[in-house]
Amino acid sequence: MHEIVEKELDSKRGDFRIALVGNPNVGKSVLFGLLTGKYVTVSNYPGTTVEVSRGMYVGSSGTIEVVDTPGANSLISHSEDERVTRDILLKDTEKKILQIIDSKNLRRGLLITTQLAEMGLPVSICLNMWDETLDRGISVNTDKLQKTLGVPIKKTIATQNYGIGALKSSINSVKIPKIDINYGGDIEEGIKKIEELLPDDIAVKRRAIATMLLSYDEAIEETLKIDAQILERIHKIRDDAQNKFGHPLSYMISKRRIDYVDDLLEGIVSTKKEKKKPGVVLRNIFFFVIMPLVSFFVGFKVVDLFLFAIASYVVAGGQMALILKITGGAISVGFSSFYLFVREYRTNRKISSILGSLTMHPSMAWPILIVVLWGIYKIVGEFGAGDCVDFIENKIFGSSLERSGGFDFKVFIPFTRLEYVFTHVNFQGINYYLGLLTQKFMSADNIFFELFLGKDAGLIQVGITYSIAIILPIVGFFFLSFGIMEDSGYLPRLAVMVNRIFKVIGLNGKAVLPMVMGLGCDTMATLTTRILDTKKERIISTLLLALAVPCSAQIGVIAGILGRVSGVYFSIYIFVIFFQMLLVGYLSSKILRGTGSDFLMEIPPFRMPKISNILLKTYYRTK
Amino acid sequence: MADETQIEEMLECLWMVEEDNGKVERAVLEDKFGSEIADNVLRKMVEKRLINLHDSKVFLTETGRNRAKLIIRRHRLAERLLNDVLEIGDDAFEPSACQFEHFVNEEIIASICTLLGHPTVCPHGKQIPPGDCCLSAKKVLKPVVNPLSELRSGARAKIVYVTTKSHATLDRLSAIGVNPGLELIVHQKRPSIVIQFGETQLALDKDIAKDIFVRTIQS
Repeated sequence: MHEIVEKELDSKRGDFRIALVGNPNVGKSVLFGLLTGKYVTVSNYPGTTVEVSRGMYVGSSGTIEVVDTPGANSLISHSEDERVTRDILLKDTEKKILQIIDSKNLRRGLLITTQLAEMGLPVSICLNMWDETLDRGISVNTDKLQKTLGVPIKKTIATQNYGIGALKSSINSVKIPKIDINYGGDIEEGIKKIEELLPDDIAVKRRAIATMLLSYDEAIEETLKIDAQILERIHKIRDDAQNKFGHPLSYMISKRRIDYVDDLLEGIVSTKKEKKKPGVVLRNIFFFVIMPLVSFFVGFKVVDLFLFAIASYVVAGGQMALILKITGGAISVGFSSFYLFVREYRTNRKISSILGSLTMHPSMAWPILIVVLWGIYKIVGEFGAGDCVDFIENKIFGSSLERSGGFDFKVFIPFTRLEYVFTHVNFQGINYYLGLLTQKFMSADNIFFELFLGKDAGLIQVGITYSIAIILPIVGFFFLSFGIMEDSGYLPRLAVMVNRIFKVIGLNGKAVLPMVMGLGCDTMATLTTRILDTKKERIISTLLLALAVPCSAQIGVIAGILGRVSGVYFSIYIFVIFFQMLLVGYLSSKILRGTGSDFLMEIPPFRMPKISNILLKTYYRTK
Repeated sequence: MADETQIEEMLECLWMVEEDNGKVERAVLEDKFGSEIADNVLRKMVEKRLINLHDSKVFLTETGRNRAKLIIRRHRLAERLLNDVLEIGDDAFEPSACQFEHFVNEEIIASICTLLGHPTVCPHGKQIPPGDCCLSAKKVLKPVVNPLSELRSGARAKIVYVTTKSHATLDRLSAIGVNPGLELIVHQKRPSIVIQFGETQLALDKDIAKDIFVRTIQS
């Protein structure tokens, strides 16, 4: 089966290949989708692309194969992602590189360009997220940059489909960037000596391989399958060179590169002191109306949930409780307004970046987190697992022998108990009509009727109905809310907050992605443990996913049971699960050998999520 | 007095050769100082019980080691001071540091050490032997160079050096662009440290942050 797929790919192979290369979270996957029309999961979380996707498009010069690579900050491999990307560049001979740079972070992007130039690969550069760069008052002199580097440079806004045409045509005029870095006497000497030892059949320039070998990159030795004897001589050269420096060679090399890029950028990037004032009206509405309302709600809800957890609905609904809740809300408004007016009101920061800071603020982030979790529970647990499941199960599918009675198509008018009924839909359920149809051929006592449409164990009546009616809405709504958290940039901020707790269980904040995803589907979450750096962390997180994190279908059942009893039991449940997770994690981090890794993570900007992407992503994940 | 300077130079050289190779051959010293001077100085040092000679090898005695430690410490702290605070370039600070080490006393060097935030390595990445001030680490003087983890949030700072032992962490940091010379703002300190430079926000562990030494910039 596997071979057939390979063959098909080969026969369809394009005239030449383009590899999309760039830092994490710069929009490679969005561009891949735009170029090839194929969807790969896109999100605002670094390291979403864990596998290499390939696709085709027909350009002006024939069929072109496009390869999407995982994000890399450097082509010296520090992580699996970087290794995968680097190996792609080393393997194929005939290819062009489309480098994607987040134009706000030009410096970091050009650091990769220096390495591509060293490999001698033809490059075209795409400055993506041009809109965000303009918003921040950063201007880039692209003409000058283009002249200095000697490669085509195009500005794009991938999410708005801007500049894609020009980008496609720039692929025809790729050039090797004009970058030449001198690493200084001792290192240069080492490079020269290693170059002479390298085998002939290398697809890229030897100089690049030599610097990688000097940087103690052991993965490349494996990739190139260098002869053991030669390798020994290379190691000798490397160690000799290293002895001349107190700092690691890899550090010396990348420092040279950064210095080179900094010199290059002089006079190309400038930031305007006076940033464009964001809309004054919107800003005032945000500060004087939206934020007080939201913070009141947050305070109110936190007290409400607290009362619910320690007592029950009864107490949480009493008059005393109402006073407490309003007090909670008032304190919250006071505190957040004070913070906002003192710290943010006069600054020119954008609203989205203020929100970004708030969601990882040492004290204010926690109530926000509680309310976010409550919101997800409402959407997934109550609306998805409750209302939607009821509706689909009873009204859409119905029962084979009974009429469901149809349903009203209506709207609720908010804040009142009124509702407006448009029309009554007289639909009795799919199973009912199937039952009617089948009864034309056989009686309801027939064994086949029992087998497929029986009330207690019929394959259609119970099997198909339950799998669609129960699983689909729960999983669907979970991934919908997960998608919003992911694309807005809330998840990485969550990672910042839980890092300390996760340290106790031998993980770090990065593990928040698989853990939260596990609330939706443990299998998918286990796949995403790939983003963690060490094997030990992957084992611990997989263990915890299997043991402690309930998936959305389980949550549905649990919520169904616990919803009928007092909140105390619910808090006992949460406490037990949480305690179990801490205990098992703590013990396994002590028992398992290997090391954890340090937490070092980029926080992407807070953005307004794109609805279309979230819906698309939900569709692909539930499929 | 000239003898003392020569002895100090010799002790310094002995320490550094031993640090790199683990042992000192007499021939190495003769290469460096000329055989006549080396013989002369080594003899005086044996008299003063600073070294022992075994065959062709030279060993520091306890007294000799303690004295060499202080000299090395003075030299490397001088390098740090000239390089980090006065921002004298790579090649220029070395000869000055060599002169510096002979005329500063322990009290001054303790102040410099405190001022620099008790650094552990020199600009070349070699160990600085800790003095009494580092061990008690009393912050009488407010240090100019601090670990990133000790800055308050909102502070603006420039990275002076990164001392992390782990190559992997160092490589990852430099790949993202966190290198000496980078200007950054501490965005927040809890629950995790978040720094901002350019348009990048980076969250990092306290363990990493305490190995990044920065000089605060008054804005």
